[in-house]
Amino acid sequence: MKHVDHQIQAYCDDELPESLRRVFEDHVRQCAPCRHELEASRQLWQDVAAAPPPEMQRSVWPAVARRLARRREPAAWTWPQRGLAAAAVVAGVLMGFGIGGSPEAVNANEETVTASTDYLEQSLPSLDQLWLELGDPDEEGES
Amino acid sequence: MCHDDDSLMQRTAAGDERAFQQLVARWEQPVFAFLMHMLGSVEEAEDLAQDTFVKVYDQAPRYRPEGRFRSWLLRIAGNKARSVLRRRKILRWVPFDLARHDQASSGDDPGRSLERRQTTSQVQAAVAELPERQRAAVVLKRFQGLSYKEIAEVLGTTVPGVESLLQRAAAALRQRLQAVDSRPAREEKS
Repeated sequence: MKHVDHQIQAYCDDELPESLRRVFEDHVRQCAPCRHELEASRQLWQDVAAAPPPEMQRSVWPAVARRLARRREPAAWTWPQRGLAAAAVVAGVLMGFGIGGSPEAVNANEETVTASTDYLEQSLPSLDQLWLELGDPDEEGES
Repeated sequence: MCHDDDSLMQRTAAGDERAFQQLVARWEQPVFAFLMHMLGSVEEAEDLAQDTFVKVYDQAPRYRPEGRFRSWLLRIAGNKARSVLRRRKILRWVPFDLARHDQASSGDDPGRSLERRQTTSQVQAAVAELPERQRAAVVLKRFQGLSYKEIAEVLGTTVPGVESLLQRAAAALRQRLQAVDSRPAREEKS
């Protein structure tokens, strides 16, 4: 008689295909050692399942939401970005003063300065925001 | 339920934070319980549960809605637990604090409650001493109710591989629990 002890685990876990299941059950009815093994296995998994799952003390959502919100804040400027911004301001100022230029050239320079300023205002975060981000290294370190 | 998870993930990918909050509310307890069983520390389990959900959020645009959210989620949690265990170079799992977590028995007869606690803690200690992958397979099957196929997805193995892990875990658990049962009573008291 071929024993079925290698199928006990799958049987206990309800993972044995129907055809094998019938053969298994027929065998166990007739075979005391396999029946004993099956009972021992069932008891073991009952004992394991009786251990209560650990309960959470608090939801993780507030912490997760905080982390996601922190990441959504605009990133601080990198050094190359800061360099480019400074260069743009200097260039704008120089053009604005238009060293010895004609009235047309001055007007053109004023337009360039206005355009540069608008561009900076639109594309970069405000100085307040930048100051807040640069001034809070601890918070950044936590994330 | 699987389809609900998939649709919540799709909404999350589209930037719907309320959908993501629902997903977290639905799955935080199973994720926490899994991590607790794997790590044995409340603090680490909470931290890794957070990390797991942040990763879920990041991966939402790439998630394929095939009704396998649970195994996908637990695989992320399992990978996080594995990296912590590697970092710790753990030899033994730290059993979790039963007094803080075994709240179900608070209204029972004190004698029976104590007996059950002892049995429970022996079983938990025996599970805790299993090798990592056997322990994960036991927890996923017995506490999370995953099928062999789902466990195989979480652990990156095959269905026969899962069956083998559980067979070896069962043999080890029986051996350990029999050893505990056969110890003299005075040894248990100490």
